[in-house]
Amino acid sequence: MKKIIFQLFILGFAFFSCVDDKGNYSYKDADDVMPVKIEGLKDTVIAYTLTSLSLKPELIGLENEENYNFFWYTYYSSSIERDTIARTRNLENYIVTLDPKSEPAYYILKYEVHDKRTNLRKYKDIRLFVRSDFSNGWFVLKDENNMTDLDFINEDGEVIPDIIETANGRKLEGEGVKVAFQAQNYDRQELNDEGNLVTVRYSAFHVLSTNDICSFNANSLELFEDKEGYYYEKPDVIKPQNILYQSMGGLFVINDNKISGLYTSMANVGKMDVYKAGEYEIHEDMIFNGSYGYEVMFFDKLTRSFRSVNSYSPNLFTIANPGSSAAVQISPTNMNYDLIRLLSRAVSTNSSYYNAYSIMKEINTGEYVVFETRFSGNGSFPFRGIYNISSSSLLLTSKVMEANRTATYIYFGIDNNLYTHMVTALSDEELQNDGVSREKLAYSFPSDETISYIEHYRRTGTTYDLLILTNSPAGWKLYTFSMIDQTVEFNQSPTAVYTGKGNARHVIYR
Amino acid sequence: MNRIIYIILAVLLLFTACKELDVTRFDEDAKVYFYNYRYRVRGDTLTQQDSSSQSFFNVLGNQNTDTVWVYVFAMGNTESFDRPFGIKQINTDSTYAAVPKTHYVPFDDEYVSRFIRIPANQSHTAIPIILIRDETLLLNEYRLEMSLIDNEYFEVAMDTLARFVVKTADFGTKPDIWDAEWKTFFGDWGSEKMRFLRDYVVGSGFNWEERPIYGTGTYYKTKANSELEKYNASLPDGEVLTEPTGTIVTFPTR
Repeated sequence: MKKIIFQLFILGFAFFSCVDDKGNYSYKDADDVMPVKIEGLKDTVIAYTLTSLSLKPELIGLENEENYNFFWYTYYSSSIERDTIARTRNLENYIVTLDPKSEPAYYILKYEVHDKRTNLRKYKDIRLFVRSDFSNGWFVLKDENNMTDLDFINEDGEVIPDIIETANGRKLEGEGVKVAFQAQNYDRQELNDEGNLVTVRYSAFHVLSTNDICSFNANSLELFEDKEGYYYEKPDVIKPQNILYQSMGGLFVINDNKISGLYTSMANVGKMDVYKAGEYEIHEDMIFNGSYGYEVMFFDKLTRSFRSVNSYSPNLFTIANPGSSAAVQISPTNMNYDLIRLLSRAVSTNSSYYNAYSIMKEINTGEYVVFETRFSGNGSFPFRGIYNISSSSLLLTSKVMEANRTATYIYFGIDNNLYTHMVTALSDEELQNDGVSREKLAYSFPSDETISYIEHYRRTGTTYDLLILTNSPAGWKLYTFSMIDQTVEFNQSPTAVYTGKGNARHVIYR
Repeated sequence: MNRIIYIILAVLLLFTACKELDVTRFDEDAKVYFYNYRYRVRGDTLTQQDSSSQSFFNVLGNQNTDTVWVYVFAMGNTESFDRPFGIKQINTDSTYAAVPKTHYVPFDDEYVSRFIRIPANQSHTAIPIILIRDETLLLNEYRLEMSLIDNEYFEVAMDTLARFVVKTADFGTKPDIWDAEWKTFFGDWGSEKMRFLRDYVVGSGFNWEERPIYGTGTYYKTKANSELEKYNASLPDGEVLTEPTGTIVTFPTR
């Protein structure tokens, strides 16, 4: 009993320890101390990379602006790292350089008004959705005054010039050569928030000029690597000539007549290998072995041989000799021919090979021929037919050629004129007897324009367009024509004409 | 009846199986032991190692010493003063036993002896095993087998953790992850191949125990083929690089 009484006694203290503490504090309303109210800013803003963003908040109750600091800063998601982008009352012409994120991800754009006298602050959080303005459109590779850049044509047909310089403050030295879009698996080693090196996957543009080779973030156009870091080991000579990319096979670059690969189906660090081993000097044209191919075929000028390689193999492969039943009994190795152009045509319907035309010159007789070519990989024999080209053919005087991907024709440009060349086993005489001309003028552009690039472009499935770039003293023009079925013919009225400054060399659609 | 006897016997056995376990407690007497949990391969589970291999093969040519750090932990309470512990080489009579001052800096060296102690208010330390590049290492691997020994401050904690071996050599040894990782890019391992890779492809100081990123491995493979072609072309009379066994050094070509 005594024990119970004692326990109750102790418990009583517990209640006594609670008293009504009235205190002597005086509370003021926050708005009385800092009466500024931030109005006029939306809760959500959508901005495109490399465009300017201006915001003008209304500050109600602000008496003397000198008594306040203003901050605009951004941070991403839960990250506590913030980036102060302005210290002005209004956000004026902020160029959005944030990496685009697809929804629902967004940045927080925070506006802060700081009262210097009381050290009190008012905030406004804005959800900032950053999108790439470069998601869909044409990218025209052009140069002016020996400096290369990209002009972007958006879906509305608006031409946004010099997007590399806008994003990076610099262009590439030299004339434009080629641009390629790598849709996936451009890996980079980057430090994460914990300071650990991790692999981050991007899509990328690869831009080649006569003096430089660069990779860029495909969304923000921010420079990843220039010629100093593009390769594992920078080659002695930087003279980029060609680039090809396919998602399965990876990336191939020809520089100074040597070829390198980057196999993008496996983890990588976004750097091009050293040159493939061996003595060779390859022509700048190359073709893939299929839509999912990882092997390219090209021509070695030193040995006058077609060779091939895949992106992860160190050595060039030899191409097989013809089998006894082959229609063409000419070895692709140690040929008596020099390659003029290797023109890629359409991939086969089952994606397992590419058709092409090899325009070649016999070294003893000086005769020109077209080898109908098909490459299916593994060093397979490529020739399907061989046709003579008359020495008077206009095709031989052209430096701008493109094979029609569905009909047996080659487009070529001479000055402002676009021609077609029919590829067939029939001789010129036989064609004339049938009232058919092998070469025809297909289109004449204004006389001050020179054709610089032709592409028989596969828009969707079986729908093709003809893209023509021309240059004149006034600048470049991109003409797009719609094809008539799967023939060589196209509608003579261009579906669109875009213009820009400088000399255009190549165009791609992303 | 028998059944009852068996049951009684089984119960008796049960009691026999139970005895008091002699557990080593961390707050008892001061004891020391080697504590060398390391990643055999980066990213794998940490495992206690009882030896460490070092080779001057992968150390720059003008560097004549290389240090392996061996960790020693103490049990018991910390003290406010430094406490030396005992350590000695135990394989001095063996063939290819590391020789003090020839293959390693001895434990009684003025610099090294500073580390043979658990510092005040701490419960662990690391001993520098300073290995010396000696020409005998070009031919054979030498072993420094060491053991912790009792002294006035510490007893040896557990027999299994009282010994540690450091091996040293000056030729290429096969990395633990060669077959799992590097073989894809370089083919079968060989000491001449290893030397060639060091001199012409990856350079000295390369970490062979780190898993390669595939793209980087491909780069090395391409470079190895290219450099080997040049190297063989520079040899007289059609000679090619071969292993001491006579095997021709090659790298995968596809």
